[in-house]
Amino acid sequence: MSVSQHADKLLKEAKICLSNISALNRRLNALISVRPSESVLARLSEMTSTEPASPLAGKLFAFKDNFCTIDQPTSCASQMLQGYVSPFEATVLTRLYKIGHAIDVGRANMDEFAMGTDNVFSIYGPALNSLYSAPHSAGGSSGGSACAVSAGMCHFALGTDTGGSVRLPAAYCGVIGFKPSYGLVSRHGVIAFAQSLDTVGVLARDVPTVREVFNVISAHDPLDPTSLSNEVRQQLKRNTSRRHNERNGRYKIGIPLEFIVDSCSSDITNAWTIVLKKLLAQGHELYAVSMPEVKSALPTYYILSPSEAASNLSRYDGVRYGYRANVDRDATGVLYGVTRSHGFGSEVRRRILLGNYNLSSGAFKNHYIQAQKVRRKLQLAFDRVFSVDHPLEKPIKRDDQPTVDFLVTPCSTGTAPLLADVLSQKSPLDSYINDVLTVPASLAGIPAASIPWNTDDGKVVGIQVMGQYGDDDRVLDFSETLTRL
Amino acid sequence: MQIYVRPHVLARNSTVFRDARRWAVTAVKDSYHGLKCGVEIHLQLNTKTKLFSNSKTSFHAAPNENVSYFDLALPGSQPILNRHAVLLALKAATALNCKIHRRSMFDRKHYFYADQPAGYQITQFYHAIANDGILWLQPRDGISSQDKLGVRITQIQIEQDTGKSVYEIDSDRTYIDFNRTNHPLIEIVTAPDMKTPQEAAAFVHKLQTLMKHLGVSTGEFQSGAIRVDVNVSTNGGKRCEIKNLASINDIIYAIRAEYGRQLREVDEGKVVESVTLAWDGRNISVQREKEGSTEYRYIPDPELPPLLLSEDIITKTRENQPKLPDELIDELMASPHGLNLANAHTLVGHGLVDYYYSSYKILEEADIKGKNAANWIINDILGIVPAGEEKLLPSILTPSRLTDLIIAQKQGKITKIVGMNIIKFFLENPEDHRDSAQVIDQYQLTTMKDNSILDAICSKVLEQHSDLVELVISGKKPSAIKFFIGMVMKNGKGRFSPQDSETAIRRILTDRHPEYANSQSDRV
Repeated sequence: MSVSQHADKLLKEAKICLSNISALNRRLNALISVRPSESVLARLSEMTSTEPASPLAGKLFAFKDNFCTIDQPTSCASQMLQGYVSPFEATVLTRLYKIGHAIDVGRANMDEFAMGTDNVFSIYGPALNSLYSAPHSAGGSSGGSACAVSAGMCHFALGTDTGGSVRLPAAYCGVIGFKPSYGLVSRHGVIAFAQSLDTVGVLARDVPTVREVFNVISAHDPLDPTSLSNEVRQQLKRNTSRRHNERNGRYKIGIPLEFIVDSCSSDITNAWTIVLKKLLAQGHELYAVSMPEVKSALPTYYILSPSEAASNLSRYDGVRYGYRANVDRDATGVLYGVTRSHGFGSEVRRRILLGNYNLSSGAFKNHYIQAQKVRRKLQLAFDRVFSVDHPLEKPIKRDDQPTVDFLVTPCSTGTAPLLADVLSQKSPLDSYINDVLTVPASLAGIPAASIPWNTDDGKVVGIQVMGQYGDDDRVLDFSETLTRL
Repeated sequence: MQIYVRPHVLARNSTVFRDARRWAVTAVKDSYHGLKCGVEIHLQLNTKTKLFSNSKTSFHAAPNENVSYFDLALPGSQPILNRHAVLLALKAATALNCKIHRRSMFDRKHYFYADQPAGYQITQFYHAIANDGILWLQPRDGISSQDKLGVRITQIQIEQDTGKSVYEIDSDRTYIDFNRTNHPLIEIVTAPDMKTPQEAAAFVHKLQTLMKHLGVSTGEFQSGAIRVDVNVSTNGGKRCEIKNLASINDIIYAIRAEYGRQLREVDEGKVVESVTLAWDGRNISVQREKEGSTEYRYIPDPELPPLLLSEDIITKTRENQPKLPDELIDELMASPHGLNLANAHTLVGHGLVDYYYSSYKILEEADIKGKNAANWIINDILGIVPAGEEKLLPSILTPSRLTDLIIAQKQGKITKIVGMNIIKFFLENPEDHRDSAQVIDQYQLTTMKDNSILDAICSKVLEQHSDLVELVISGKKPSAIKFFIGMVMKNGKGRFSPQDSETAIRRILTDRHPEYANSQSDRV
């Protein structure tokens, strides 16, 4: 394709995205701030006047409202950060602009501070699922990102995944959601929820786009203390190319028995079964594997993530930035009490309370320390199941059970729920249960993707692929295989 | 060049030292039966940048000038550990004979306060960098006992400093300065091994000297580079903590007051409760009841990786450790230097021992007593070096510049006044790199032997002060002759030696007033 043909194609695609935004966003509420069309098109003509500098050049994207930008407010969908403009830009955005030459169309809706599974805890109101005409959950917390991709408002979107916040909305909205290995993508300039779990993720309608975005944003960042070094990245690359040669497109697939949960709807289990059968038919090998530690993953996650969140969110006091109440002390003299109880929404306040309880000296040893131990056991359980070693750990001895390249499970226990059902939930625990299938990969820091699967009766289900830490490229390879079943 | 008239200057640090000896004396009078003290010391590390950010550390910047995104706890900012701070902590731990851990961790300690922007302080609570050290105090450090006293170091941890709240008088406003936020600190905690206020003071003073010597910290109370909390318990009772003592004397008097308070409580039939106390310079007062109930909700920092030290860096730090003050003081007090304790302390305290040794060697090679260098440095030069800039002395007044002047003075080429004037010139003109001989030549500063000029100056001085001349001749105030010598040297811009000046004055007085000659011979 010549430069001008390519430019025409991009222009056509951009115009479709922009018209989708103007037609759909008012109802779907996917984007909470939209870049004016003229600005997007002006940038596009800049990008396409020359030979494309990157496969992403001229592609449009949305990003979750927890990525810091310098030209607009970054709010995490919270009143607490209303009007806050960051003086620095998230490294991933800088990479997408400067190296990818991609163009953003605006900021995506989310659950406040990324806490939620249905994108209903947002000062901007819920983001809706574009697949349904009646209001359905877009999933959370990166609901706006998933919806924007699903509704064709952009080529791809950035989200963050702490316990499933990219994969779950991807599953509900019928798009691909990829959570890379922890430490590959910089978190600098991404507002923290729980740093030991927070991972920048990518949402798109096809795997090649996900891979192109991942290639641009996966790089060492000296500003992020958890960013993987260049040496380890080189080692991961060598591992990947060696494994490519060994496997030749035929994989050993694990079915972890503990992911068969009672709460799974029949839509989900049926789709899972069909996918597995098709994989078998294509010549892949299937193995049932057992990881009893997975049963403890959900409680572990709900001890660790609120604990970190309670700590991280201590900085929001209204003194230096963001929302500040009229008085600094309440009637009992407690500092910042008024600012924080007005500024944070109900779910954030609930998790802060939960976290502070876990960290209090009475509970710390029984909750936080135990949860850390369980997390470690869970990581080891994954290491035992995968055929390849964890690149950052000492090689381990594996027991008798077969080892596999990937695990294939459902991504959610059901399809996107009706918004009305979400809003009428009696207990917050109802929504916490949605995370049961996604948090194991988060706790282990391993790469995981949700791949949409269309059922015969017209529903969309998310199938989850998980691979060994650092095996991101092959997880994407296999995800592509799944999309072609 | 102006004439410098030297008052008798004691090197600054020796005031503290003299205090130390006075503590020892008071200890004899006072009894502190049953007293036990431990200290917690916060030391600001001497780094160019902050502990987890790239902003500069400084004491003199305008408020909020040296503040980075992380210092302000802006959303999305992250900590990057300053390796230099770790290295300094390692030096401190090595000098304090600690067990150094190859793996330590950073934890967050939570509390809300306006000068604590993140809502937590990053510190080392669960796994600190070092434990189980010891610092030995000797009788000469100011303790009362005749034996050495080992003070056990329980823990050394690396942590962040807080910002500063500035309260406006007659207003309900508080201003916050974040310059100090995230400045690297080490906290040093001791066991309750000190049994008198003097021992606690001696420990803190010795630690200050040691840390300054190693370049770990300036150790100054005034700038807040050192902050001291003291734990006090009596007869095995509960321990009370006196917060933020601002000087060595405050340490002594606050402990003494707290010891008295605890004894009175017991006398009145009460039980000493564990409390936090404040010392205002005169009185001790209870600040907060029930110490220990504060809930800090410690959590290992979820994004700072463990601090890993190689065996190699630990070994190298130990091997490269310079001679410590104790050893240097022993050396300086022994032959051939034979300095007294105060002078040895002064040289060590200002980091001038190597400087002295270099000068000593040059002088000895020129067949002049090397100890002269110590006299010049301690008694003369330190008096004109601006406080705090003592460390710069060796680079400006290099050993060769200094010894050239001492040699010239000993050989009678220049007077000491001229020598000191040249040194002052060097200090005021750090860009001038000429050697001492060039300066002496260029400004023609060699001692003059021209009697006609000297006589003229003497005559003028005597004429200007005829009333004093009267007193000298009459024998009412013979010592006034010293004043004349001083004035002649001043008017002669130091070019004439005191001996020549005195001879000339006496000769002129004798010539003009024969009776003066008689009074002189009477005296003899």
